[in-house]
Amino acid sequence: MAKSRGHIIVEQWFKSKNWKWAAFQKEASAAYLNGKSGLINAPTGSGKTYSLWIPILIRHINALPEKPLKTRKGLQVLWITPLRALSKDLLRNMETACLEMNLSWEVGIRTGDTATKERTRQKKQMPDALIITPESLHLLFSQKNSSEVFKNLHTVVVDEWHELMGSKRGVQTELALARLRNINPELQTWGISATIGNLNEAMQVLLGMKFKEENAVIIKADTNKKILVESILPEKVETLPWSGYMGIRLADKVVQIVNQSNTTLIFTNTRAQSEIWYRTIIEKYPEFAGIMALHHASLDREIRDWVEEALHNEKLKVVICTSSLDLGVDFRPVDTVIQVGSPKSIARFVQRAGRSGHRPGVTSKIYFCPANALELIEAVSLREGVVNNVLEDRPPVVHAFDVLAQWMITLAVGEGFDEQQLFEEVSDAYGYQYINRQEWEWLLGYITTGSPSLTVYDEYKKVERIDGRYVVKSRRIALRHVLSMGTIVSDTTLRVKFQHGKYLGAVEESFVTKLKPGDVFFFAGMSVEFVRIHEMTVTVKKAEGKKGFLVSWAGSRMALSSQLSSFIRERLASSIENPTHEKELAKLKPLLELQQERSIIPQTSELLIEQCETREGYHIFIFPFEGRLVHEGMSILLAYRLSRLKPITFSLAMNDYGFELLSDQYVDMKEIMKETALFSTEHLVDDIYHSVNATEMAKRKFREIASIAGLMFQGYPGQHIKTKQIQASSSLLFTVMSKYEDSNLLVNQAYQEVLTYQLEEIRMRKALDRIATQKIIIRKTIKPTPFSFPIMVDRLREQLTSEKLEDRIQKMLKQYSNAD
Amino acid sequence: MQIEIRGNHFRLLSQKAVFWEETQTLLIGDLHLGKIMHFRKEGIAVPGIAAENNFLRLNQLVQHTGAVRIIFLGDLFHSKYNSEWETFREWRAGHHYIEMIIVIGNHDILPVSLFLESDMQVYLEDFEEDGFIFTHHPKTELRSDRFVFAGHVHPVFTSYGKGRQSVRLPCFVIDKNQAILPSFGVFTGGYPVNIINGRKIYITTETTIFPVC
Repeated sequence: MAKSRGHIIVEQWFKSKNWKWAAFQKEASAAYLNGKSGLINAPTGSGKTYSLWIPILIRHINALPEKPLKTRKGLQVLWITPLRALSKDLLRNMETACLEMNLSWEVGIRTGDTATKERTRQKKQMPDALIITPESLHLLFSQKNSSEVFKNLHTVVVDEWHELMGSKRGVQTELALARLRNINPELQTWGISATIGNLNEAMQVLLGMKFKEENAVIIKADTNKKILVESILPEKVETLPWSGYMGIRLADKVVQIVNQSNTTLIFTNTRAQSEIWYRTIIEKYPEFAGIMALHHASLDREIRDWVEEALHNEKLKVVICTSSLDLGVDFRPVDTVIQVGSPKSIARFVQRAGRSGHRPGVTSKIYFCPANALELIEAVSLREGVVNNVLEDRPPVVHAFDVLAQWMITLAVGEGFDEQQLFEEVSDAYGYQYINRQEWEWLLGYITTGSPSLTVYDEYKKVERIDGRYVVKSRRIALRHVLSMGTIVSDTTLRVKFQHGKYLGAVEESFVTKLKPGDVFFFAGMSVEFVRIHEMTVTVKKAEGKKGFLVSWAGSRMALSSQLSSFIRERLASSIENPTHEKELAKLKPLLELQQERSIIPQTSELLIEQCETREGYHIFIFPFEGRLVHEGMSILLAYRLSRLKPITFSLAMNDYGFELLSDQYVDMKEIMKETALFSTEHLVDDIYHSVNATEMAKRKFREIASIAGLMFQGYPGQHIKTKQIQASSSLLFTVMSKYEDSNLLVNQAYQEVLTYQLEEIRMRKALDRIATQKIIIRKTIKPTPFSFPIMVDRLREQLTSEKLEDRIQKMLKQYSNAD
Repeated sequence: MQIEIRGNHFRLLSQKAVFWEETQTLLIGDLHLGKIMHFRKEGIAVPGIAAENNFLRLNQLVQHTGAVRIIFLGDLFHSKYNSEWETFREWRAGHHYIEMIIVIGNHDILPVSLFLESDMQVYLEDFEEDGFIFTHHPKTELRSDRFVFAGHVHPVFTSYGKGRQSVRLPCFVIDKNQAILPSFGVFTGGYPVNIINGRKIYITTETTIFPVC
């Protein structure tokens, strides 16, 4: 076959750069030019962008007419990225190739950061290729001319698809793709994904239900990257606390490693943790001032940009960061990565390890710094997972009716829609393949009449049906919808700035309300004094050397993946027979001995239950070692089953190793286990449903759903227009909706999400099946054990009760009067 | 639960209202009518049927107490005019034999004429009678020769028990010279209050009232 014009130009370009066209890039190119769609499985830094961008350019060159066209073709390529921060780097790479090949192709960016001027320009004339986030893509559909804009679009690339897929942003992407395929049935869709356990599913989710299998292909880059895992160990295990997540006790050892390295990234699990680490190091090692930086999602964009730039230019010795630096741009100077506290999943750990030694062939090295004693077991398990190349799945989100409701309104704000046609289109998306007419009708009702039951004087107004098309007429409603689009729900945040005007970042409203003028808090790596709050802005000034509060952010705790959990169970069991097999476990020996002295260390064939009494009440601890999500589910299930035997109230807590049922009454587990199948999988779904109902879990889940579905309005950004009149807490909405409306799809979704994503019903069933084969060992302990203590001190608790409210109040109030 | 204040008898009702025996008067705080319809008008799908519940409970209370007068302690209507006002008007007309008084609250932005048209007496600040003051905002400077009934804050109280239990419920707050009523409305939130010296708190489970201290 003779080489095409495009091939010749591209090959010349590769030659001029002295680059080799990698095998997977060639393969991807051939598949793309054959009209196929699919998934590229390649890590960052392997040239994954060019694997698709180059064939897109070849196609473009080959399609160029002899004489240049007078009018431009408009948008032809969409490049979807999960992170705004990545877009600039992408643009640079894509533009460079165009320029050097002498192509007059325009590449643009459209994200939340895009200036109004640029937006207006794009509205007049779209660039040929556009880098965009899922949110901004949805916003394009809220314009009146969207089908015109996308009419010549022939290719969509979704970058970091593994990252998007497991979230509602992935669902957003699916919906937009289904629409784009409808506009152009020939559309080619490609995803780029890191290695995950369910790559095939990932491709199906990307391409939708109607895609012909023979037109899809997965292309894997051959990258057998070596990763070395090293634990940071204390001299003595007593150095480490029994519980806690901060891990600063080992700061000295971490600094030693930083000093031996060129540039280090220290990954922490939360923003607050990164702030603490920054403060601890700067106080003990002031010489790091100027060469250490902080990077997390609540810092101002400008600060983060500066940190990233400085990292590139080798101006920084160490950066303390959160998942904010998980993705994207590679920082070549970085040669060392330290993970503080359990990363909870092998995939995340590997991803972070990959942030160092980016050059092909260079070994990545990652240090693990445990935050508490028991995490030493995780250290061993992580290493084992990395060595055995264990992959975790990223399950896609399904049945997200909140996202669908938002999408329907978005389309109604834009060109409007025909409901039959949209129903067809939506069922092409993986996440809605099972949607039925009944659910669809409910959603249509939700956006038009606001509820199934109409009261006499109803004034509900949102989407209207005019000549068979669903449209939004009211400009106010359209504006409010556009402002509240998106699936990332967070607390109201306030910007923090210095008196002289420099912005530092953002903190949550709930934190600010606790502050008084003169209070000092630690933020963005410095002590600042609260001056005043005015119109969503917190003004601060520098406070020298004073101690202050730590900023807290709301966030959920990550849970241990099932793969990691099973490694931990095995490790723990074998630690008894072979305690010095691994050096981490050797360190842990005194603690394990104490556990054995007060209770036992369970074999993999055993389930340990500990009971003890303290001032707080009667504790039952159960240790399935299945990760906190499964434990959350099991704890409410057990509490529910126990509560049916007699009126009783439980307060529940859990971590990745086990869970606790705490009550003011003694429960004789030995006796009950003889008669009641507490861990049975019989009636499981019913029992879980009832137990979720008896707790506040669904109510909490509803916050996100209500916000996405447009029930909550956070206010106009940057403006302090009074919106209080239409703000209600999600728990109030939840109460009213579940009380006064049967089968509200959004309320149902809250339950479903709790079951599927929070409690991981499927994993729980497997865990219960496993427990059925285990021998149950009940130990009464005088004192809490090393295993139970971290759970006991946890303050995040769930309640479940079968007592009458009035009886409970009576008991509580009696204690008040006793105390007097 | 009956309490005595300045020689008068007040029944704290589990339905989140107070009945003044001597004058056969019902005191009701923070009804926030119109809130649900206001939300719906703005395209936020709160079930409209929830609004009916407010009237159901009002009817029950009137029947149950045989009140001849109702004093609304402000925030009767949550927003600018919407159709829920019509429901209220009908309800008012159906109870024409009851005298009704409203002390204007911060949410009551309806034109005063609407209240007047509905045969209600309107007080912009306080309504005073027999040494009792009925008002919306709790007073910070209190006089010992006057006793204040107020609303506005929607008080709730969290009780704690052994085994790390807690329950949060609406409550009545009775201080030496002032009483604050819980919010009566279906669709309203709550503000936590604490025990302080000389304060009595009564929590309600909607069916029973419990004195906390």
